[in-house]
Amino acid sequence: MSPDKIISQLAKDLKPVKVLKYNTKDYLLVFAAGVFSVLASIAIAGLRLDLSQIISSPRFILETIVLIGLAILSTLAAFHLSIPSTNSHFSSRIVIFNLFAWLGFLLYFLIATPEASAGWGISCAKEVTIDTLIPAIVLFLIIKRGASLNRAASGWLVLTSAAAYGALATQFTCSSDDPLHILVWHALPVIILGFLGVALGKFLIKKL
Amino acid sequence: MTTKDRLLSQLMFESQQGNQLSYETLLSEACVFLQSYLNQKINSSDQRDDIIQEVLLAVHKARHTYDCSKSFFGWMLAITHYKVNDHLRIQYKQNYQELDEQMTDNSLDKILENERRQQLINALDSLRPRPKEVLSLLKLEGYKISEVAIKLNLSESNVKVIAHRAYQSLESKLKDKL
Repeated sequence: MSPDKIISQLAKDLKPVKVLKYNTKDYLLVFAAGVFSVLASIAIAGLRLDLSQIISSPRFILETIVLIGLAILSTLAAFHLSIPSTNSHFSSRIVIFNLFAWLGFLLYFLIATPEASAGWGISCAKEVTIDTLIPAIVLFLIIKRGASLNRAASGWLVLTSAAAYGALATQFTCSSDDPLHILVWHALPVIILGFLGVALGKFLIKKL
Repeated sequence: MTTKDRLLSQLMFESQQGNQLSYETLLSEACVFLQSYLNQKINSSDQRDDIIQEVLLAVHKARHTYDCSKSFFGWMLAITHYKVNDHLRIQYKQNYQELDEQMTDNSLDKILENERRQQLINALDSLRPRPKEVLSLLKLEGYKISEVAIKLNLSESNVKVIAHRAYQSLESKLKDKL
């Protein structure tokens, strides 16, 4: 079909549309879903016994901030990426930087802990995975309304954001501070879920 | 935003409200822009037309995401880049697959040829030293019978007999394999 024919056809089929504008309500909804997951996780698994001692430690505070940052920045980047734009890669790079900051932080402590042991933490990995569900569903439903040009990256951002909430929950429920344990049973599930998000993004988000 | 950009932005705003005339004007202007933009990037006119069609369809599907306070060209260029990259990726894959199939066909022949050659060499190696030497000189190094006879200090008829027996031996060894 020639461009002229397509133009006439598209103009003939034109219907009014509601312009997509993400507002505070959308961002808060995702955040609320994440917080709900964290609180539900804490309610089920229970708070770690040493929380009162560890809560004021710089390492705990820093890690918590990094995880909250990862969750929020990934959400914002997913929103940004769902609108066609020539500078959409910028926000994804910030998320990658945040993720590497967390991993770097863990590696730093791992190097400083010669007797590090991952132990058995399948329950932590399960917790991260289950906590991912609700924020991931909410975020996918919101950004599906947009028109993402990079479905794989969008999917990655959605699941990274959601999984970050899961990892945040384990901060409050898992009493192991061993950096290798956190790397293997908290951080690795976040990374794996991110990769799963790449596939889900291509499947769930419509191609433009 | 340039004046043109502002004009297109206004046309898009009206199109979002359902104004068909504005939409037709907008898409026509977009088409002109895309043709000159893609002229610099894509050589084939058929491919340019394909990409333009895909961009127009994508603009139609994504029109609800356009914010009229921002540049229309910026928004449309993002879609255009995506479609161009997508198109080139598909083309590259198709060309690679065709090349791969071609290479596979040629490679298969080469593999079979190499296999046969190797079987021949193995069969040759299994001959006794004198017949092996005669066949190698005759067939691999291209000597004439008279030259082989001089080289190995044999009569020409002797060389012919040795060569004949060596062929028979090779034939029976290779009968099952080739």
